[in-house]
Amino acid sequence: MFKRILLTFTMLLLFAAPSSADTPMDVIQTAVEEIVGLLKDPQFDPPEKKEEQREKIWNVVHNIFDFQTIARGTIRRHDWESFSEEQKKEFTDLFTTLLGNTYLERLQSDYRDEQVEFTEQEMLSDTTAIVRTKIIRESLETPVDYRLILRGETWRIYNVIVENISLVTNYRDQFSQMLMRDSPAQLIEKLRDRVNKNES
Amino acid sequence: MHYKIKFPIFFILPLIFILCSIQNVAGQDKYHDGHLSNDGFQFLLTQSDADNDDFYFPDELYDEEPVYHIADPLRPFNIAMFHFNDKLYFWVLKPAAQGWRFVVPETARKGINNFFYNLGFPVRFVSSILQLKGDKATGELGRFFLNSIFGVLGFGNPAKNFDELNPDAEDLGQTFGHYGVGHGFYLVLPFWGPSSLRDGIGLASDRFLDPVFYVDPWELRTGVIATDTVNKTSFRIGDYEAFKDAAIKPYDAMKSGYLQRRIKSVNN
Repeated sequence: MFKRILLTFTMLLLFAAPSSADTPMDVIQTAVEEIVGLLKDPQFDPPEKKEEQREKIWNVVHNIFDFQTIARGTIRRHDWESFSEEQKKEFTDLFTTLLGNTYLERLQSDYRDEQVEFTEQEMLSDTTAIVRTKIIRESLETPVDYRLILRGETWRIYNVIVENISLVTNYRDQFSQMLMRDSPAQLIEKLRDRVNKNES
Repeated sequence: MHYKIKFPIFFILPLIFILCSIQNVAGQDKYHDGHLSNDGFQFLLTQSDADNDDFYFPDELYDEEPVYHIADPLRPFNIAMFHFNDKLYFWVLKPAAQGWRFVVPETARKGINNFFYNLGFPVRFVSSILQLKGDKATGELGRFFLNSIFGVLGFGNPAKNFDELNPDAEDLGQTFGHYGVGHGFYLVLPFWGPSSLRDGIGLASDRFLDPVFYVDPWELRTGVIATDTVNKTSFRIGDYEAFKDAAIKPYDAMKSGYLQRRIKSVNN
């Protein structure tokens, strides 16, 4: 009996390896499972617990998404140069909030027992990788690819591709269209309105 | 419903040759910033252990995602159609699909979905052949026979578990694209949604290969098409809402999504 406990304990130690050893696939899989766990957890069913659930999900999301890179990627280089340092910071901040709010709300209100299948991992370079997954809802399979970049010792998501549509490109096309008429300040103002509208 | 355009393929052919000369402008944005000053990124998130002191944005990170431009000379018309389709979804299609989903069990809806997909075989098969994609054509053919016979007229999907029997769907719009025909310009079609001059012509031509198009009388045909559309939508309730919620400019977001997806389908 004691031996078995010892063995289990050693195994646990072995598998609880430091995060630097996590592959991109591990990172995605752990996060998805954690989020699904939180979504399914009946303790968050009462409406007054939703805020707490949201915070917990946000903590997970926040640690695996590289929002700084995502926000930067949604603005074309020559447009980005027309942003002041202050505006760059504001934009990154607002965009992160907007993205977070939108998806967390969606997750909380719409999760219907979808299954996630982790298909494969492909290294693009030493520091970038793709993890391919499928979301299965009823008979519908939706391919979702995550692109990750190695930041320090952890892999973090810099783009999500849903059914061949890249999230970053999609926002970049919207922002570049807006920046043909609007100044960076106006774009930021519109983003701020949007964030406030969603929160109220 | 979305089978509005009807004109013989012969009228279309000259147009295609005109289109051949119009190429897609694919400008690439290279992001040659290298290191960015970190002043802009003091924000970032309390719990994050991100190495913000030295934020590095690799030049080539998004390079493989070129910025595609499509001309949009009919923008006012397209925006009107976009709103029309939006209302159509919320006022007609969504309630119908919700009702359908409530009444018809999932297995039956799946079967109907399989049936209609199986009926689309001629379009996919002919398009694969026209692009000289032998593997795809064989796959389509195999799928069609297997599902029509052992899947009882295509309601079942015994081909499901064979990758080679499930090639990505081809259509005539993609076939034009395969031979270098550009989109021409962006077009939002009533009922159908985002398209382009090229893909609109492809769509109109696809109809001639679609058995449903030959259903007579037109009332029955409309009923069949409506069933297919409502049934398909019943699997995707909430997707359009999610898309719209996430978008800042829904019209441009949809255009971007359409282009991205079509470019991917043409290339594989």
